[in-house]
Amino acid sequence: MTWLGFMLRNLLRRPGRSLFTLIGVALAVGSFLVLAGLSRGLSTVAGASLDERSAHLVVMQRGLVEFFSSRLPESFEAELRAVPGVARVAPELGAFLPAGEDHHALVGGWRTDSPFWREMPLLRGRLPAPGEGAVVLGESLAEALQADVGSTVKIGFAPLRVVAISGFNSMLNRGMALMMLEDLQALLARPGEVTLFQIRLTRPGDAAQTEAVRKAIAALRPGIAVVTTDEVARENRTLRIVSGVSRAIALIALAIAALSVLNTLAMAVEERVREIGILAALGWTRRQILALILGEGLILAATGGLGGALLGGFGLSALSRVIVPGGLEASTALVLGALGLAVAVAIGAAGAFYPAFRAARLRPAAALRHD
Amino acid sequence: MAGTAPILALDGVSRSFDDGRIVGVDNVTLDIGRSEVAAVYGPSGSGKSTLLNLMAGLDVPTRGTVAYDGRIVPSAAGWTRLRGERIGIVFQDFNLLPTLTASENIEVAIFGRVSPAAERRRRAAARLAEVGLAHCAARLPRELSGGERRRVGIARALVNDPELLLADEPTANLDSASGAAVANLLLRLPETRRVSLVVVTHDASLLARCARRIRLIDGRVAEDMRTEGAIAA
Repeated sequence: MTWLGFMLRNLLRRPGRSLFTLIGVALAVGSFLVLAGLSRGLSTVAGASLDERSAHLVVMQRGLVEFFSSRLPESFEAELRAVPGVARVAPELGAFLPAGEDHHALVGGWRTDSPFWREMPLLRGRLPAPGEGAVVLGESLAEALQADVGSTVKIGFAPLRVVAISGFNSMLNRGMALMMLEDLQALLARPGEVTLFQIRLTRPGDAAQTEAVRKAIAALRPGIAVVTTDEVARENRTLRIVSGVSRAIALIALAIAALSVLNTLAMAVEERVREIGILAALGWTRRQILALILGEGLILAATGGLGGALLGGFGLSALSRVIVPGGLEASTALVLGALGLAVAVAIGAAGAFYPAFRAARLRPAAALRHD
Repeated sequence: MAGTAPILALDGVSRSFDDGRIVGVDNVTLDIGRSEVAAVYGPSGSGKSTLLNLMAGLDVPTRGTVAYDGRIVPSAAGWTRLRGERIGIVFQDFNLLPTLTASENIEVAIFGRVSPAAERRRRAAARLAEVGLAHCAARLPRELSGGERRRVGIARALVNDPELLLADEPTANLDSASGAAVANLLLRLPETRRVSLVVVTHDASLLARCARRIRLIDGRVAEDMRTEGAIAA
């Protein structure tokens, strides 16, 4: 018999109780992963989208409650172009709009003379022509809307012809619809307005230049934020609130799971006082007894964590498909899966420690007299 | 003094409970020699099991000292190490773990001291064979008779090759045939394994076969008598 075998034998003595604890841990870890994944996804997705377009800095309104409420005049572009170190400026109008019958999609309006427009990767079709009122769908969005080149889709309740399918890599860009800036401005009744400016620098790796450009742009007018692509999400108060609430709920779920492990093992220790006394009488050290109970907690938590990682992966994948077509990125899923297991192990250790400590401190003679 | 000293030496040992209102053992001084067979007997409540617990380091004296192999054991951890490596205990209530087989109940006594698992299994099988239960290795305690359980308990106590074996009422709750078999098994050990044996017993036939008989009354040694050639396996 091995250590692992002995621990499993102890856990299987009360299979129902162990199973319910395991389910509790799985649900907690699953919830944690979904919430942490959403929070992380929301934080990184915008940055990844901007990175893919090779934007180095983003200019938008400061202190936004939500991203799309940023309103800047398109004419600001000329001032930005004049800042030393700025190579390119691309204005963008963005909106989250109904797409098709039962989806929502991020819709971007780009100017045709912007480098991003010209460099847009197309899987098939062509770029919209001026005045055409057409749209380019990201691959995932096209799949979700069951549309292709030649189809007509409703974006913001306006019927638009699909002229191309884009082939971006990032999750957000794959689920995005792109239009000419003036078409989207007309659709949203926001002529001359943009949400943000994407900026390419002449020397993107030069930190000193980046900082100088940031300062120069920030000095142009009050109330604007000049951020790197990684910092975009931080400027959005809604995202920060969602992230904060998600983290709080996730922590509560984890605390409940840890208490559930503690409760199960505390009951197990209470039932097994005499047996623990026998082990101590046979020469088991406190450290061995501690390791036995801790090990049982870790097995419960790690198994539950594995289940929770799968549960969280499915949940996050389904949820991210509903919120943003394109689903969860594989690298994010792996990171979150590993995080889920690590969290589960921490839960197991936290929940098992007190009962294990109690068991290790039992005096053999007293434990042997226990009924 | 290690090696020539008595295996166990109690000096003025007392153990009381409930803030001194209950006296378990009162000022006991005695030595247990190497390969000696000693029986502790007396009426119920006379402190026999408490004395055995003190000899095994399972309990701590309120007063006095217990020396093992000439050295006072300074800590609970020291006693734990001794029980793991040099002392074997046979419990009155069998005290087998109910979810483990006979073999596993023996293996569990050398967890952390003997590895790998195959070696633990090999040693458990050897001890089971020694007590005549090789065929019972895979049986759970509930599938064993009282006598078999006791013998598994003895096999477990022997798996660490102890030099001192402490047995609490080893023939209690057994029919006369099983009791006699267990007594034979235990009383052979000092000769075959050079083990010192201390037996707490009510069993007159077992008592009669022990060379030294220590009578306890109210926690005190009322009589400590040695007889030549009392053991007959």
